[in-house]
Amino acid sequence: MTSSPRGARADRPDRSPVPPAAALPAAVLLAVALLLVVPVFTPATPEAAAADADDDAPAVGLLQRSARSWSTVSFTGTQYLTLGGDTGSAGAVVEVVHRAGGPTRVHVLGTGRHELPASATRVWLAPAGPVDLLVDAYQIRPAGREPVVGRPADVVEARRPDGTLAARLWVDTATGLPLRRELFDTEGSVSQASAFVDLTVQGKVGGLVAGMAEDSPAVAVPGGGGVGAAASGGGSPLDRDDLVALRHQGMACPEEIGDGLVLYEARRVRAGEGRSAVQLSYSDGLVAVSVFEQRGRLDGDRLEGFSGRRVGDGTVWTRSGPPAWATWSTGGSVVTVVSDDPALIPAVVEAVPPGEDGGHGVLARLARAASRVAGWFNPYDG
Amino acid sequence: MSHHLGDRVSPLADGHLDHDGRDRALAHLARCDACRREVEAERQTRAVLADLPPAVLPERLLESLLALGTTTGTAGPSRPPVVGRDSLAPPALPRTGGGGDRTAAVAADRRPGGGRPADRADSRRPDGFGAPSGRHSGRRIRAVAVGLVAATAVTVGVASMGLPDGGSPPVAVVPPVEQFAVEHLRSTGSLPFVESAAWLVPVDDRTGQR
Repeated sequence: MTSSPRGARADRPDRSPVPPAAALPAAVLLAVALLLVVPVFTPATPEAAAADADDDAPAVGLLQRSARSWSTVSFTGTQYLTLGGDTGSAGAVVEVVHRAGGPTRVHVLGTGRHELPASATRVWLAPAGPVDLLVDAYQIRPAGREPVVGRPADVVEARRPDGTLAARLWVDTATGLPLRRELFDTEGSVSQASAFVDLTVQGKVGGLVAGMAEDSPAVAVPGGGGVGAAASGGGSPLDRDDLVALRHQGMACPEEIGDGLVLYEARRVRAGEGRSAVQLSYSDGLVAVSVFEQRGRLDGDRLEGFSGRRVGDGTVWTRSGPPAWATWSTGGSVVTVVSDDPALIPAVVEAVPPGEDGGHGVLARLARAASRVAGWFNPYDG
Repeated sequence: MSHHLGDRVSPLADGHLDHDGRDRALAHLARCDACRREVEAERQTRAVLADLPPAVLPERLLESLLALGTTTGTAGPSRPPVVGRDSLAPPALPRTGGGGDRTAAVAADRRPGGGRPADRADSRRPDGFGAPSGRHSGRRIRAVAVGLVAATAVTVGVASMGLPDGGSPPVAVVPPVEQFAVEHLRSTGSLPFVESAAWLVPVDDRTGQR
């Protein structure tokens, strides 16, 4: 781009000695060559190996043991969860009753009892497991020992690539249960905290907790889980083939959001009024964000509690949390974001930019076709 | 948890409690509106004091900020946030496309010459010295560009065959955000070190629905 072709063409429209017919074969060859070169410059996914080299193996082992503990330990306890650190401006106290490898019953005091249906069907989409999300995104280091709720605990730190502290986790030395958790923002302030203030360990695998029937419904529990141990909700899981098909139909379904939020699960869920939406779940192991895509155009006038702001070619509507919400239209779809951390929303807006409410007609069709062509040359698409 | 924080409010706001003490205090705050308000007031007071003396905004900066405001409009209904806390307010959104670029373009147009690229001005010289490397290479580049555009158009046109045209205009949608929060909560169940903020969304005890 050393000069403006438009300006040159406007001033000298009849000087070209090369007939268009003669130029075309060379142009086509160049186009094909460029298309072949495109994948070379496609950005690669983050490399797990680089992060692994910086991690402390025993500390990573502690995290893996902690993730497994929900399958091996039964307990009852009371846990608090607060957002915003020491201000305590948003928080909850949660009573947890958990059976090893089985269901968990959770009662959030003051807000209600969570009786979410259990489901054994989960399709894990991330390249590595739940703990690996954390290990890949952060540097894992041991940070000594410190008791929590009267129990000895090992402390593990997660640090960002720039060295700042992102999280501190207390893992029960005896059972591996995560006892306390603190998240820090980039300025070093506590942004989230949770801990058990009361805990009674009932036993190992197979131990039934008193008062919990065999068929008790399982629910998701803060800080707990592990694939298959925690609850999964309604809707049906989607696999990679489903996502490829959805992309060809015009949905974005990005593999990654921002710097390190990896797609780990996708489901088709109910979206009211007989409609459905695709839920895409992203995490870096410490925070999570869900992106919902559904067909249609956003009716911003009927949104309650949202404020609109013009971004690019569309309007992004946001609502304070917790959790934080945002929604906008793009190319015949409506994108809705539910995020534990409001700071993650701009990254989603960047990954799935708002657009006009189109989605039908010739231009929208050509846009989908262009996306389809780009998909042919994307080695990570399908 | 029935006892109020009392003289623990200040140490908590200052971050001077030990871990066990902080755990107990935060667990109490999660259920006690009075103490929560007291801690918030304490921290706000500290924040105000920390901010003194007030910064004087340069007039030029103020004008620039006001000018920025004219490029990002707000619209639609709004109501007070669920939790009145600055850090949980809607985040600053990135300017994609128009916003920042438009501002830059306006600034460029105000420069002498209207921000017109120098190479464009050169290309209008009658002797054609503005061309990159002579007459022939310019024509070649034009021909290649035309070919590229044509090849891309043909490829996209072929690819568009068989794609649905979208049919009727898309239906108006109001996302069920509370229901989506429940689904978000469920999705985090497989993450051992993630705790979802969706726990804080109130649940109707009678129905179990949010």
